[in-house]
Amino acid sequence: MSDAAVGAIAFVTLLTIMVGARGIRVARTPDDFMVAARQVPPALNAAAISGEYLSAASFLGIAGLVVAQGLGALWYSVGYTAGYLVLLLLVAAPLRRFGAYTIPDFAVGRLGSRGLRQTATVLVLVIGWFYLLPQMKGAGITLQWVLGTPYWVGAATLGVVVSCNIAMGGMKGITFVQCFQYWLKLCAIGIPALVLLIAAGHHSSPNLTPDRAPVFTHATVVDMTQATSFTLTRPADATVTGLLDQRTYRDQAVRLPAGRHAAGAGSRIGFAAGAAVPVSLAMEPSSNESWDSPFLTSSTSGAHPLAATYGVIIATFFGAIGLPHILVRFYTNPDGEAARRTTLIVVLLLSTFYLFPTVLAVLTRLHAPQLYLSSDSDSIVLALPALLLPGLPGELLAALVAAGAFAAFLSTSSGLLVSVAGALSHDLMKRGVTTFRWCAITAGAIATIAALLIDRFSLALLVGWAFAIAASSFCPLMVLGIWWRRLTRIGATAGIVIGGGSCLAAIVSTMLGAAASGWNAVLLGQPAIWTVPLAFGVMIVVSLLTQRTVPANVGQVMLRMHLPEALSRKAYRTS
Amino acid sequence: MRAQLGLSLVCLTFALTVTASFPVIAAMVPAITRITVAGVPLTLIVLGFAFYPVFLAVGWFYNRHARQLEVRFTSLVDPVSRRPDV
Repeated sequence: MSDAAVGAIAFVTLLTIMVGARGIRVARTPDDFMVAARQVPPALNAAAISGEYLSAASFLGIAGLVVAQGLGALWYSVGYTAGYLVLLLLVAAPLRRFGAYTIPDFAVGRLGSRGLRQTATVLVLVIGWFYLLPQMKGAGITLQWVLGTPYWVGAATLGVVVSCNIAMGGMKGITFVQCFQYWLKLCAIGIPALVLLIAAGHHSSPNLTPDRAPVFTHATVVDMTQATSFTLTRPADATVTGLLDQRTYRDQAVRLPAGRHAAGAGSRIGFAAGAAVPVSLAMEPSSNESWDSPFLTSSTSGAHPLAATYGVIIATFFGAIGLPHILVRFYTNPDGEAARRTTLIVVLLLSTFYLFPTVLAVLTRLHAPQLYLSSDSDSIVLALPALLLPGLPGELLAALVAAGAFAAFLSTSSGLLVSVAGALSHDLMKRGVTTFRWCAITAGAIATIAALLIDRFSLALLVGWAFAIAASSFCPLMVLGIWWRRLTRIGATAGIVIGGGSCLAAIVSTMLGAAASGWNAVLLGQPAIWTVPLAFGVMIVVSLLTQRTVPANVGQVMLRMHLPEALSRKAYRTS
Repeated sequence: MRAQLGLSLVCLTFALTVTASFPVIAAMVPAITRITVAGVPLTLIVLGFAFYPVFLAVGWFYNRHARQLEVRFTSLVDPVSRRPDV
């Protein structure tokens, strides 16, 4: 779109590669590669965790979803933050004291079973890949919006950059990169939000002045997912398929007169470049009723909003514990006390960040509601600055947003790829730095290819699903593993397989379009509401049935997790 | 350890009650969602802004008390003498 945006993205990418490359000289042993040699102070580590955590969903997805579906979508940002509070309360310090690299390591160290390690590794891969997909999608639509390249170009670019960077630098570089990227992301969303807020305050509702009616900068196809009536401020050339103004068209060129039009559900209108953006009546600020609702309308249907809301709450609150790329970060804290401090700082940093997507969403809603009609909800944040602030300032802000968005994809997918490649090389194949490099490249390639298939799902929804799988498999493993002596490996395996498996099955069936309405749609689309209790239940019941297999060293392991460092330093020379 | 778990659960219950009760209350008393404060819907204030300070306060409270519990435990066991009992 603009040269500034292209330059900004190139700058972020180059900087990431360079800072990562600096780490190569430091990173020599596999230990360095995996967790940055465990010496990262809390403030730096917290920024790195936040930088890694704030993904495409946070940067683009939430604001877009709030504009499209209403305030209920804010539950995602609340949940993403609360996830860290739950992590702080339940696992942060004991986990650091336990001193293992990955979730599979934890499972083996706590319960001592090779079978469990492999099950856990497979789940790390599933969650990691699920989480990588939205990042690739985000890169695809960002480059599509900035450069006009096809969707796959952006996804492939991200895949190549991240895989090569990880293969070269490992995680020492990444800690610095992630930390830098948190602040970049905060600026990239905070500055535009504040500037636009001030600008919008100056001339309220700018799009009501007729000469500034927005136009499509390039040919745009609008798919009407539901029957929509809209108003055109000027006549527009369009290619129409489906029902429009009580006539059925089949891919015909039409000149639509100015005024009101009614499009049927499933119709598709391709506007030519330069055509005025229509205003959707359903989105006009007068009809605020449903937009104000604190409930989340489920992805596929509006039915049972309360259940869908609780599905998202459970998934996001408990999902953060089970995210493989986040847990690895906790081993880089010097001790358990530092792990707690780090987590609290993370909650602070995330809270600050999430104020801004909310601001942007409300601004869009009030001042540029046509964006909802004119674009994929995920690109709303990218399109907003240029619309509210025409000319160079808007362009610069848009460049900043694009750069921040790209930083989001880079950092999250780097962290994920380290975990996925680490799990592949560490747990499934022979260890070593060379294996790790090849695993990074392979895992990146697989994610890129898969990302090409999922472009019709919204970012926040995809990330929410990754959380749901994590919450219904690793969350019970970690929580029960840390606090409950009677957990057995058979119980843990059964819980992970049944909880994670049923959650995955529900999500895949939703992706394939199995259930479109009613209870099925909610229970399959937001499965955490039943799979998380199921996973906990199975794990507890099966463990109680197999008490003979409680590991003999459970007392010692529990002691190591819960004993303050001041004591354990005396008790064990090394942790 | 039991004291630590108790502290965690108390904090967790509090945070969950505060946040998770909002949808139920809103569902039972729909009028709440129509309240506006200075033109801003209450839902926006609660979901967009109000929860975050609560999370921070709970986290801070927890960290302080968890630390105190550990200090008390350490002085109780007296680390200088010998390995603590398993």
